Amino acid sequence: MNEAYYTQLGDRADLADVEVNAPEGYIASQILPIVTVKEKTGVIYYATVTADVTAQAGRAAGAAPNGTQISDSSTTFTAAESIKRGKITPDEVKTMGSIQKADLVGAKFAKRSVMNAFEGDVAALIMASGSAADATFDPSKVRTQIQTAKQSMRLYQGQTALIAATYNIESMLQSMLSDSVYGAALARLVTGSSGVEAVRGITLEAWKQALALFFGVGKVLAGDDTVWNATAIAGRFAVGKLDDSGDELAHKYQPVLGKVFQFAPDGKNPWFVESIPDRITKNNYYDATQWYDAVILNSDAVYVFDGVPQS
Amino acid sequence: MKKYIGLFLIITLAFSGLALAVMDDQPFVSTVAGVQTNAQNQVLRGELYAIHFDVAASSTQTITVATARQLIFKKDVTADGIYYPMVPLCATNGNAITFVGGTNDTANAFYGKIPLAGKVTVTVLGGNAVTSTNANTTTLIYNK
Repeated sequence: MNEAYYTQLGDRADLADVEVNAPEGYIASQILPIVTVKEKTGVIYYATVTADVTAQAGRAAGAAPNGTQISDSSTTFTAAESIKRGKITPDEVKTMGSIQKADLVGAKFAKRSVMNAFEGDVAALIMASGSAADATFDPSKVRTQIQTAKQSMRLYQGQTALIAATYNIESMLQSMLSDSVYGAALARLVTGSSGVEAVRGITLEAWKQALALFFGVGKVLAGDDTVWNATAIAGRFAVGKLDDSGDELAHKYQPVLGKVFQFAPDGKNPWFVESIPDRITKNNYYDATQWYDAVILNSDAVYVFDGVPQS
Repeated sequence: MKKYIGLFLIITLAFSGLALAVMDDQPFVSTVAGVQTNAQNQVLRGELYAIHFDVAASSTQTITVATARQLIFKKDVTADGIYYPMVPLCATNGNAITFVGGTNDTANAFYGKIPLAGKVTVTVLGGNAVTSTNANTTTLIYNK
C-alpha cells in the first residue's frame, strides 16, 4: 500500500485541538463544572452547609455571643485515564480521500468515545447508579414530591434544575397528562386556549418550559437517552442544584453539588491524542486520552427519583 | 322535574366515571446475572387484573410483586406465564366473608381484585449460578 496512506507517528497537538461537537443531550459539564488541574491526584477543600443554629436572644450585657465554628471539609481526587483507539486501514484511508481526512475521522471518533464515557460516568454518579433512589415518581403527587426535593436542598448553592433523559421527560409528561389530578392543568399550561398556542405547545422545548414552570425549577436539562437512561439508571431522574457561579473555585467557599477534576497534560488542553502507523498489522491507530475524576462534594444537593414508566 | 335532572346527572357522572377507567399494562424490566437481585419501582393506582412473566429460557428466578403494604405475588418462575391474582375479602370486623356452596357445600371465601394505590416493587432474584445475564419483563395489567 502507498506510503501516503499511513499516518505519522507521535503526539498530535493538531488533532487534540480539533473541535468535536458533543451530541445534543450531553449535559454532564452543566451539572458538574470542570476544574482543570495540573496534577492527577490531590486534596480538595470544599464548603459544606453548616446547619442553622438558633440565634441567641436575651444575651446578658457584656457576655460574649454564642459562636458556631464554620470550616471547610476535604476529600481527595484521582484523575483516572479514559482512552479510546480508533483504527483505520490504509485501504479505508484511500477511500476517505487522504491521510489528513482519515486523521480527522479517527481522532474525532476516539475523542467522541471518550466524551461518551465521561458523560456516562457523570450520569451514573448523579442518578445514584446501584443505590436506592430518594423517592419513586408518582404522577398524582409529583408536585409535593418535587417540593420535598427542593426543600431538602434549599441551603445549597446554585440554580435548581430537573435532570432527565429526554425519554423520561416524555414518559413523565405522558403519565401526568393521563392522570386525573394534574393532567388537565398541565395540558392547559402548554396548549393554552388558542389554536396558535396549541401548535407551539407540540414542541419538546415548550413541554420542557411547562415542566420547569409546573415544578418551579430554574431549568430542565434533557439528557441523551442512551447515556442518561442506560440500563443501570433506567427510569430515573433527578432534581439538583447546579453551580451557576462561573467560578472554577466556587466549591471552596460555596456548598456546591460537585465538580469534575480534569487533568490537562499541558496545563490547558485536557486532550492527549496520538497517531500510530502500524506496518505489522497494516493499520493506522488514533488514541484519544483524557484523565478526570467526577466528585460529588455535597450529595444532599441532588435528589433522585426512580419509577418513570419505560414503555 | 328536579328529581329527573338529579337522576340524569347521577347517570351521566356514573358513565363518565366508567369511561375514565381504562386497562393499562406496566412492564418492569430487569436483568440479573447468577444470584443477583434486581428491584424496580413504579407507582400504580387501580385494580390489579393479571401478572405476566416474560423470562429468559431455562433459568429459575424468584419474582416478588409487593407494595409497601402487602405482598401481592411471589413465585419461582422458570417459563413465561400469566397469573390472575385475587385476595379473600373480609367484613368490617376483619373476619373473612364466606358463603356456603360449591361441590363441597362448605364455607368458601369470597375473593376480590387487589387494590393498588402507591409504589409497587417487582424484585427478581436469580435462583441459579448462571453467570450470563438474564433479561426479564414482569408486566402488571391493571384497571386504572
